[in-house]
Amino acid sequence: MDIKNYISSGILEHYVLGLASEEERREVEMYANAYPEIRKELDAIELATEQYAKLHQVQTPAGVEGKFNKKIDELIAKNPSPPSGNTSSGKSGFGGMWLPVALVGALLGTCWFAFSNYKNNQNTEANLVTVQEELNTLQTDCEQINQENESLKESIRILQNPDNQTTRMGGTEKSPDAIASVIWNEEIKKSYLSIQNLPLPPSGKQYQLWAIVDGTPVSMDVFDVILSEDGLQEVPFIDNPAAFAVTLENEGGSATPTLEEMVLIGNVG
Amino acid sequence: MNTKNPITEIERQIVELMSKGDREAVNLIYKNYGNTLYGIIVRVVKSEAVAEEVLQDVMVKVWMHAASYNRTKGRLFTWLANIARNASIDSVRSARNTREQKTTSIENFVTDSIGGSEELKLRDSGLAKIINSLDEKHRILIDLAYFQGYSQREIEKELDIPLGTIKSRLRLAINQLRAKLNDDQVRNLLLSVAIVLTLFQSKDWMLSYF
Repeated sequence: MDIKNYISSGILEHYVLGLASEEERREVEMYANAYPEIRKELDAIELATEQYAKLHQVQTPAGVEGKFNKKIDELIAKNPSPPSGNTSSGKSGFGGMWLPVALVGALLGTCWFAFSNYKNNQNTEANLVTVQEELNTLQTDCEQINQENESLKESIRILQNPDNQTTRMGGTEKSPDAIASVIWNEEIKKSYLSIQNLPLPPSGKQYQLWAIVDGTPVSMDVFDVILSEDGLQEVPFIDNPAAFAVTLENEGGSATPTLEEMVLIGNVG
Repeated sequence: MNTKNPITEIERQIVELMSKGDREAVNLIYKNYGNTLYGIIVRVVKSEAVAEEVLQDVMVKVWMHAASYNRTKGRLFTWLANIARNASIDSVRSARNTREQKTTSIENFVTDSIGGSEELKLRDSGLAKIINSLDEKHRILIDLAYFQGYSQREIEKELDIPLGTIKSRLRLAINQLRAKLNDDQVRNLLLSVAIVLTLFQSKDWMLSYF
């Protein structure tokens, strides 16, 4: 169970806003009970929504309290053992009241029957919607996986080219654990950068790749750190490189490398 | 007190009374949440006369189901708001059915509802600013779901955005809301409102013993 993924999927927000299906509701409640992290997030969402609702409150009309209390009184009178006991003065003695009481009872019974029919219909509809939603989600997932698959295939195709040359760049003193490789191909005039380990640059900074040609650094452009499995990124092709290096520059790159900010270097051959 | 997740004293008290089936729970709920629940109901049903009826029904339902509430179902207010929203939606649907969709087709109803929250005055103009500072496309989503009782599919249709986007955008929307509400100033304001309410409640509460 990936808790972070579950939280970031947006399902908890759906639950609190009343958008979740019955099945999703049960699932959320189950997970929230099992994982304190989910419970905490859920609480925060609930609290924010509660506050948001409070901002929209509207003064209730006068007299409502009396009216619903009367209805509850009537309910209690009809059914002396209500949902769970009560503290109101128990009204007893049906006396001559049995006929109206029976009539109201029959009426309530009819209403209940109509209501439960209606509910059943609603449930069926809700189930249909759930299935459609699941289908949508699965389709989206499927598209995403297809894309990832295409991108992986592309990476493999690039890597399998027999004319490839690879230069591994190792970290400098500034960044001893950094590793990356440049893969380039003289036949098709293409170069790729593959990052194995490189910390994210501080904000406002960007890494820049250089080729050393005839003792002069030539920019191969700035790049972002992508660490996913298919993290091959295409970089400009430069002929006759003697070495490759990476420096940390201000965002957007620099015309000449800042040598004291060099993090990676590797000689060709 | 843990300000991150304040389950207020009054909330605890209400839940305790509910579990015992004590009638006082309903009255305390009305005092504490009546206006907020009414705010939701009015926005969904769009008629004060109908809203009053629905509010009465909601309070009766709360009484009938009080014993079934427990903490594992989330915060008390989430539970109450769900009852209020569902009752409001049911009322709108049955009204629409009896009128045979003469005046309000689903589409009309749907279009009229957007921006409904603006038609009603917000209680506090300072807090209204927070709401207005929310991204419009985010606010619409929260309002459609929470105050108009839209289903996912209705939102999808209405705004013509795919389900995945609705989910991620709603999460952004709530995150934005959380960030705004976490603002110190606001928190203090809400806290003081809560304290005043609690004091007010406990005064009533103590008086009822005499």
